[in-house]
Amino acid sequence: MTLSAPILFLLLLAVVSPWWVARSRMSFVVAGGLLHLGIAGHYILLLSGVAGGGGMPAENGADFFPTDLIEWSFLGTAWGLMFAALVSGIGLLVFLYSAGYFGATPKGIRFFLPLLAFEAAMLGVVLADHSILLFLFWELTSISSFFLIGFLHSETTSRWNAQQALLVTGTGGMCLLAGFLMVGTEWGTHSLEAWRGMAVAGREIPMVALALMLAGAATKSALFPFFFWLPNAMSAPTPVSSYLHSATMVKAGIFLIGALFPLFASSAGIMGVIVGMGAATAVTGLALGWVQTDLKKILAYTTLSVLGLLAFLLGLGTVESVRVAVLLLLGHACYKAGLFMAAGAVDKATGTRDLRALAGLAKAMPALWIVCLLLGLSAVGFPPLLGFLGKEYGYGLALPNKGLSLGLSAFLFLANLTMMVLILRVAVKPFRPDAALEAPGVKAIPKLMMLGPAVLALAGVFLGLTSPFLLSPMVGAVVSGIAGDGADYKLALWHGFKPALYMSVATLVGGWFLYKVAVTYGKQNVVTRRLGFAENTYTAMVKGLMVGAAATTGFLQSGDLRRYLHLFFGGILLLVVGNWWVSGFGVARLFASMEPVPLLEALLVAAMAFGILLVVLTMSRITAVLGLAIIGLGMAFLFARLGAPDLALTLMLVESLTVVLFIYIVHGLPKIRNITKPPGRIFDACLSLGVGGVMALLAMKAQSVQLHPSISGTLNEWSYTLAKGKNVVNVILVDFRALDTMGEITVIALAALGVRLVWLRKSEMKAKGGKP
Amino acid sequence: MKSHLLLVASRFLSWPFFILSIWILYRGHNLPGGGFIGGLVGASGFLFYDLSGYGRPKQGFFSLKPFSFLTAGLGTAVLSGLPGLLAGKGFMTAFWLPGFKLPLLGSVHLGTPLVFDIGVYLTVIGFILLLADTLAEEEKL
Repeated sequence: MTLSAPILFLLLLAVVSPWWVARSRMSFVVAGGLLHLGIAGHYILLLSGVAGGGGMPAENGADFFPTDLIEWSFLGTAWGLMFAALVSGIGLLVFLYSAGYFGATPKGIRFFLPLLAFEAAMLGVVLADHSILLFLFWELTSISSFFLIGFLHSETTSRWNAQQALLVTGTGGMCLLAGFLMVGTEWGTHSLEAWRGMAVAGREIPMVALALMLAGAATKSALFPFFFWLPNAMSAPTPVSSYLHSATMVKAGIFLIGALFPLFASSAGIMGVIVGMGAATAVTGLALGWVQTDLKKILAYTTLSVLGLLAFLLGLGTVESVRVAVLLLLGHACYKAGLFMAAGAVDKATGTRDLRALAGLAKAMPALWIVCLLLGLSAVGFPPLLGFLGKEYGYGLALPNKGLSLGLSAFLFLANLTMMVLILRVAVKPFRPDAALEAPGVKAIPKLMMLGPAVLALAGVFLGLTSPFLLSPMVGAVVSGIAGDGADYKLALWHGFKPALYMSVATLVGGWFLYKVAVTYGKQNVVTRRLGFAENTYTAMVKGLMVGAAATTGFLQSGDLRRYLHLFFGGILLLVVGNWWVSGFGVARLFASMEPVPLLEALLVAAMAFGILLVVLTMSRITAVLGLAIIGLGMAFLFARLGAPDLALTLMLVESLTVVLFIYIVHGLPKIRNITKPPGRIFDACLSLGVGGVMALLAMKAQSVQLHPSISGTLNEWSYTLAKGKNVVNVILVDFRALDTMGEITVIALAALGVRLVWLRKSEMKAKGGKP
Repeated sequence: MKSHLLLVASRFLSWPFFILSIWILYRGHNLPGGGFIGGLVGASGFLFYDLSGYGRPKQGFFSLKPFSFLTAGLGTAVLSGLPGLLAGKGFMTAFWLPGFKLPLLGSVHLGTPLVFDIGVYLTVIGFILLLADTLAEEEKL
């Protein structure tokens, strides 16, 4: 249980959290904080064990699920454990931040349930070794994200955005499942570790499966063209944005690409698509972020571009580019989560997140200013902070024999330059004095809200400085776990006077200059308008779905009883007769094997036919009910004659009771009228006769075909020997198939409730004086 | 439309019908009958009062409400499945007491299927009564 125990603990804490927080908030925060601390430490220790050359911790609880399709099996790869450490470590800070953010409000009581459930699910995603298990956790992250984005559920936009995120990532999740199932069926195992081994060994993978899995990853990580849900997800409370939508969940797609790297890497085409999607996402994020004024939105768009860069780097597929991706991911998780929390603190203190209203906060919030500065410096890649490594190594990428290095360097340079401007707008602009703007008034913020950003800022400094010793082995293990090589590479902060260094300096200087001159926020331009197409397509699809659903419902649920019967019987007729048409039915053979009908039974059938005519032709409801009773009783006699006394008894009772119940309402019913004209009536008659005839033929066919050996003899025997009953019908009902009967009586009870509810609604309307 | 004659008749008929229904319920295991049929017959005992137009008594057994029957029925049915679950043999596995002889009934076998059948019986009664009540009130609207 070394890997999955924290998941279970977190789920348990999630379930009890509403009660616990409501009773005693302080003790919940302390206990939850300690639990997180323990979990984070646990995973970091496991990670350092793997990085130190130890074997990967594995866990296989094969008996956890009573089916073969899914297994409770986990494997701590270096890549997965690095994510687990990030998820639980940042989880600790977000947990404490949330406690401060919500304080003792009712919102704070229900917030921790989805948050902790998400955390557990995310850990499951990164540690699961069984693909279907991974999918299960993957969906749970989508669902908990849905609840968190829509947390402020009284706002329409929140609900819309939550639904959008769920639909986009959920559709991707379905693709992912299909891809998993395809590979799993083809290769005969669902273990991801086995998959990696088989892919490395050169086993062929269905292209469709790869595309489906990539679709899952791309929707989750908001890659182009699915990027639009992520900025909209900013309607979630800030702790959520900081945690799910920058540091962890949106990286699940990146995680998947890394976890299944050998599979994706086996196809140059797929890798090309990943590179293309990544680059497009990076450009889109920056282009759209360029004009934003909301602090959180700016951060969301820079997150988007980093996600794009990560996919781009993984897609390049060399050991070096994977190393850059890992470094970039680590740095980004730390500084971006911190910046989000800081933006939330600014929002809490000033009441606004609008860039145009924020300036000069440094005086009133000096501590936050220093924290933001450190986070921002890490983000722009200032040495020797953690963010520097990702950028410096990125510039150091030279793709051997691909002739891309110049274009690649230019792309990275421009991306970093733009990103730096956006980061400075968030981390510096609100704090520096501005001649044209007065500093807004500032409220005190809870201390717990300062802890998270401060710790992450210091982590950026500490991890950056110690990277050659502390991070080196870990990054090496992660990189070699993904790309199969590069374990013994040593990270360094100083590489000598090389082009990478010049580019870093140029980025910092150029970025600062551009930040000063380009005051572009709040001004839409032609590019940003064009990029709205992705979301517009989504909106059109959702609206189309609604219109289509309304039209279908309007057609099928017209409220006209005749229409229902037409559709229902017409459908049966079409399906059954169509099937016979195709498969050949042989009606003549059925009649050939018929035996002569005894006189008594023929008379009963004649009586029933009389009843039918009575029902169809009469203009009095009482007569019609009596006609129906004749049919029913005739049927009951037939049952009795043919050796089914139980059925006969039941049918008789039901017939009698129906008549009794009908007596109640017969006064209230309108007179029978001829609504339809003769042609319509002829059509109805033909349809009824057709369906009746088809059902009769079907019954005869069922008699003449024996697909499986009959079980009646066995049941008769078992009835007495096993179930101690001589009445086999009853024994089947209450013993052999008791669970079915259980379902049936539940349905009976529900039907009764339904009748009651319909009536209650009607009487309520009547009481209000409205029309029922 | 009230009939005093039917009201008097129902006082005489309801109990015999009810006892008859219990007998049908019990004999179902070996002979035609069982919870479903028994329930229908048992409900008829109640419906005599309804037919008379005076409604069911305000006190006593026949004043029991449909929801009581529905709840008791579903509850009994679920309970009958628990012994199997507790014994680790799966929900609804049958368990029987050793058979014994009674003067009037002959050899008697009691077991969880019978308990389950009682659940069916009660649910069916509740169902019919709830329908009847609703329709009766509908008539008054």
